[in-house]
Amino acid sequence: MTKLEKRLIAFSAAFALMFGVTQTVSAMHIAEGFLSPGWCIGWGAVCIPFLIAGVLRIKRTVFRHRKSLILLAMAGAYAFILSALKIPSINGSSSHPTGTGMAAILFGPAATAVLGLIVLLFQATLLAHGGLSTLGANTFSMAIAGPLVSWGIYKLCKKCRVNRLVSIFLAAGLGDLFTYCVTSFQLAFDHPSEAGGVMASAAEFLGVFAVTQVPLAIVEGLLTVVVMMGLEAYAKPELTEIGYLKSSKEAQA
Amino acid sequence: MLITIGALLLGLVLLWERAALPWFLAAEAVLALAGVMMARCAHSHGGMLSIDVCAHQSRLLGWNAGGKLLFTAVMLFFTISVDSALTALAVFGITTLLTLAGGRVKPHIYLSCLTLPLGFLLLGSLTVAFELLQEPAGGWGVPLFGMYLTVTESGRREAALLICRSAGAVGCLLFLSLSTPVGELVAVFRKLRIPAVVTELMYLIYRYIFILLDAAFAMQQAAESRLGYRTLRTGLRSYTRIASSLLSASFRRASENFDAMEARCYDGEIRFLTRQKPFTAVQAGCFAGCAVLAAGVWALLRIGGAG
Repeated sequence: MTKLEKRLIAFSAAFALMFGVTQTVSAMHIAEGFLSPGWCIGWGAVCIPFLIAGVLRIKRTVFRHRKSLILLAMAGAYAFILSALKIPSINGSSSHPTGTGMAAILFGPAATAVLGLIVLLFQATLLAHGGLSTLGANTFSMAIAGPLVSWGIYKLCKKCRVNRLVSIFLAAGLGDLFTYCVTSFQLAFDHPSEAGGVMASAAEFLGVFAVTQVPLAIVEGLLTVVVMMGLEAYAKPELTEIGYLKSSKEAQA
Repeated sequence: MLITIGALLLGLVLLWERAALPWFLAAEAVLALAGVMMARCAHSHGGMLSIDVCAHQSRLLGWNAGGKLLFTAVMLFFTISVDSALTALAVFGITTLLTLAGGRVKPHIYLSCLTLPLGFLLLGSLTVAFELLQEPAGGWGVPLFGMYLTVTESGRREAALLICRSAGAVGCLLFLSLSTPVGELVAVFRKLRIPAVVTELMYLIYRYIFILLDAAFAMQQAAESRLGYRTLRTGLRSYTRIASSLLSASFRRASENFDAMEARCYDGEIRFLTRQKPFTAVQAGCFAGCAVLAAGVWALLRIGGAG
């Protein structure tokens, strides 16, 4: 390849990415007012059983040791901050991961649902990211469906004795992809296309968001792996406390 | 830049051949100007959370938080239920006026808060407007996979309604979040009998956000001053390093925080002294006036449309 050819390829790639990785669609929050009232209430209702399970779960853990409430709160604040941190991309705009896959691996899907709801509420009121009327739909896709898949994949990989880092990567990445599929369908259900119905509309939304979400899922997977490696190196006692790592005493017993 | 292109494209889709040429050009110019303005006031997370700062400085801070929440909920439901684009735009106007004139929020901050939701709306409504059909509708279409990407009349109408409705809803949301600090909202949730564990978690998360934000920006600055964001590759590496050290730092800080709270007799419940903010007749009158105004616009349009 000549220098010119290389430059041309680099330029075209950069151009493609400029239209792909944009700030506006990076995290899959459905904006305020985008869904009609029926769907808003419907998705909210779907979330309720998961949230009740989550509240009961958290109550039980907190009753056993009080410190876990503080740890959960820190994790929630961390997920919020993750969306405010600058992640580099080609055109200088930022795109950020959801961090829910990591929460699901660390705390389990039930607690993640409640944590996700609170973080989404704060993102709506403090960053105008997402919305109050779409809170139910966003909670379902980002705090319930995605984390459930992440957690399931992580457990499955653990059963099958897959390398831990590989399983973390798969769990976080595929959870992210699932979130994006669910969001596209949520949008399509409310705005079906005239000729093709829900499926055609879903295909359209999937196509539009694929450009940003597929690379982002890979980035999120890699990021989660690196963060977990860092955690295992530096925060062993805390990880034992929340039950991610088995303590040496338990292992002996 | 992207917002400007999106706005121009949306104007083209919605107004082409529907308005006279001068009006069309004027609308495109207004949209382009709005896009440029928004890009100038672009959304940045740098430093502090500007919405939170605004909420604490708002002139409406002394108003009852429950009242504001109720007003927002009613207006929001009204906006997303009505089938009239003009009514939704009227709601946007009313809430914007209430925020800017009533709350004394600076216009450029308000614009910067609008960029993020409106960017998503542009993309979403464009997706709704375009359809993949066997034959191009209205005489033109972009060929794609043997089909045509075209704009139908109903898709066009739906996209217009959608963007207006969402603008109204975003106005409602911003009215609430630019006038009410999160702490007061959580106090309202507590009165509404939301489980104590959840409200405690909300309080704690809200406090910790600021602690972590400080740490995160310090780390980011440190990385930046060492050219950590020079290229994409080093940028990604810096990001992951910051993310992982921030999480372990936050865990450590949580432990310290817990010890401090235990030492101050923390028994699983945090009690705050809250200042009473009564719901006065003036506030009720103001909210009722705005609601009646919005409902009036809707009723007038109904009557005008019917007759």
